[in-house]
Formats: sequence, C-alpha cells, structure tokens
Amino acid sequence: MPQAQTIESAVNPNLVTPFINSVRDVFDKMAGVKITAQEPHLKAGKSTGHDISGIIGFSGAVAGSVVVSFPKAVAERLVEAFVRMPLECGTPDFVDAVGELVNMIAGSAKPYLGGVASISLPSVVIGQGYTVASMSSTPCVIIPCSSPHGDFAIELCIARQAGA
Amino acid sequence: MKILLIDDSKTMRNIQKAILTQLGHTDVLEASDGLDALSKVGAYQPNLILVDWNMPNMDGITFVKQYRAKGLKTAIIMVTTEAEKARIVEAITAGVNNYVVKPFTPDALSERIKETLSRVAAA
Amino acid sequence: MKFNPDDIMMLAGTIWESVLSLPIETDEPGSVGNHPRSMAACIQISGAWNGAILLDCPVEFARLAASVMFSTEPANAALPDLQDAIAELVNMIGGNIKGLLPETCFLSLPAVVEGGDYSARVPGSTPVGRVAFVCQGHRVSIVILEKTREETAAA
Repeated sequence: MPQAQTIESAVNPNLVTPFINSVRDVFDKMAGVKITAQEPHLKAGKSTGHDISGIIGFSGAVAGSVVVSFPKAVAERLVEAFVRMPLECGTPDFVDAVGELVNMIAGSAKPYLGGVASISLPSVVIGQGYTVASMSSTPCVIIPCSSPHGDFAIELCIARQAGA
Repeated sequence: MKILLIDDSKTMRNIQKAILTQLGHTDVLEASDGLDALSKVGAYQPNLILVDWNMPNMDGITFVKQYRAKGLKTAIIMVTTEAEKARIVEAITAGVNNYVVKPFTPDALSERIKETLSRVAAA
Repeated sequence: MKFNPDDIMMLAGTIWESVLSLPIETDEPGSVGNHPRSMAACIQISGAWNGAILLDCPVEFARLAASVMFSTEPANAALPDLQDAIAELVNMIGGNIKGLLPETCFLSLPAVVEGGDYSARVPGSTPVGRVAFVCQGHRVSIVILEKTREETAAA
C-alpha cells in the first residue's frame, strides 16, 4: 500500500521559508500590516478558489508558479493599506496594485531560493466561483496567512531544477 | 526640490509619491521607464532621481549609465527588488548614489533620501 | 513587438491539426472570459522579451480537447483532464511564440482558470497580437500581451 505523501517528504522547506518571510516583510514594511503565517500544508487536488488571485511564474534555477489568493473584502483592505488610498475592486489601479503585491512577494523571496531564477509578469484573476490550477507536477504547498483584515493564502508550486 | 520618479508600476509610483509628499516634496515628475525619463530630464532638471531597476523599454541601470554619460551629477537612488550584493555593486559602479531594496518602510526611504542629499551636498 | 494575426492563426492551425486533428476557422477577436462557463490558460515569457499568452475557450471545448488528447469520451473527461489539455495547448503556443523572440527567453508553467464569472488580466501589459477562431462550433481566442506601461505626463 503506497504511503501518503507528507509535506516533509514532498517539499523542500528551503523553498517555503523565503515566502513566509517575504509575505511578512512586504506587508509589514509596505502596508504596516502584521501577517501571521500558519502551518503550511500540502494542497489536495489542483485547484484553488478565491475572489482575487495574483499568479506569478518562476523560471530558471527554480521553476513553477506562486498564487496569492484573497477573498474580495480582504484584498480591498490590504490593497488600501498598501497604496494608502481606497481602490475599487476590479479597476485597473486595483489590478495593478494586486499584481505589484504579488510581484514584490515573489521578488523578495527570489534571492533566497538558491540559484538564478527569474519571475514573470504577474497575472490577476478577479471574479467569483472560479478555480485556479497551477499546472506543475510539483506538489503544491498552501501557506495560510492571517492579517487583521482577514485571511488569505499563498500557494507554492515550485521546485529546484535539476542541474541548476 | 524637484524629484524625478521612475518606475514602470503606477502603484509603486503612487506609493513613493505619497511618501515624498509626506516628507514635504511635492514637485515630483513621474516617468514610466528609462527612455521616458531621458526624454524628460532635460526640461525638468531634477535635484534627485528615484529609479527602479526592472522596467520595459529601458531598464534603470541603462538609464543611470546613459544619464551619467552626459556628465550629469544629480543624486540618484535605485529603488528595486534586486537585493543581491552583485546587483548593488553594479548599480553603485554605474553611478547610483544610494540603494533602497523593496519592500521598504516610509522611514527607510526617507532616511536614504536625506542621507543621499546630505552626502551630495557635502561632496 | 507586434505579432501578425495571420502568423498566430497559422501557428494555432498547425497545433490544432497536429494535436487534436481538428480544423479551425477564423472568427472576430473578443474579450477573455465571455463564455457562460469558460477556461483561460495563461503562460508567461520572461527574459529578453517579457509578456504573456492567454488562451480562452468554453469549458466544452476543453472537454473536447481532453477527450481527443486522452482518448476518452468527452463526458468522462474530469476537470483535471480539461486543465491539462488547455495547459498543454497554451504551452505549445508559448513554445512556438518563444521561438520567434530574441534570445534568451524562459517559459513559465501554465496556470489555468475555470469558472463562470471572472476576468483574467495581466497588469502592465498591452495586447500585441490577438486572434479568435472557431473549432467544432466552439469559440477560442488567443491574446499575446507584452509588458509595457502607460505613458506618464510630459515634463
């Protein structure tokens, strides 16, 4: 009988810790918001559902994708703290701000992942009742995050590349 | 004081502009990349330039090299997510006076601006 | 950098023919996510050129593609099969577009969105190529986006 995959066996912690540090750092410094990261766990299935999702790709020494997903109300409050003004959900400025947050979280983690990696342009999905699937053969890790404005999650589907 | 703010992200420009306003700097001109900035520096003649590294059309490091190649001495602060030591050395070598890694606190940006301006004034 | 719609159509036609053995017919370009229940696959290119490719289609087309690619009945294709099929198509499109770009560019892994009420956007980018076509009655669109930013006020 095959053994159930555990987070310890499936995921390199050296790839998870930099994101926990970067999400805390970005929100603390740029928005003055304290983030508490909960215990990471393996994602069941491929899809994640939320109202607002920022997706960014990694290539090079580390490949895969990172999705930061927020409920709408949480995204609105965090974006307001980040840009220091309220922005209406769905407007180009709001989409740009979500993209910049995700870009900054990924960019701050990048130097600590080992090797030379590059990050893509972020994409932002806004809606209701949709799912986002990262098409990676790598097990995905969910880092649940809490803030005074509500909870959100980071989904990591990244792995070091052989020979990188 | 005239400040030229170069960043391809409107969000980042708005954030930095808000911090600069809090510091009492209201004469701020925005540029969305190095090319856009080069087309504006002649007429605007800034006293301080804040420039991002990764931008389309012309990146920040190319802008700094081309700006310094004109013999212009205005203080430049690189504000970027590029945190590797080699990148910082590359920027300083190209002619950047100071370096701020994103994410930054308003206080950290403010301190770097003050520090840079006093260093340039003393030189 | 602009992409000629005829070149994108030819590229899509070749992929659709070779992978799905299905012909495509040109249609008028529309917006992403305008089907009752749709899927959007996004793949990003970074390096010497920075941008993204968005493939948008109805879920029913994804089901058809999955049934062909995985040799199963459309009704038996589950959501992960649909996601895999659309991801594979956008990956092939991305790989071919990358071949037209200056060295060196990297392709990200695709991400696939499925739902009835969403919009997928790439902030800080503008469309530089766009085609729409019909395949077995399903409307599919491909948009190529390049990283650019809006102009700021002149001095």
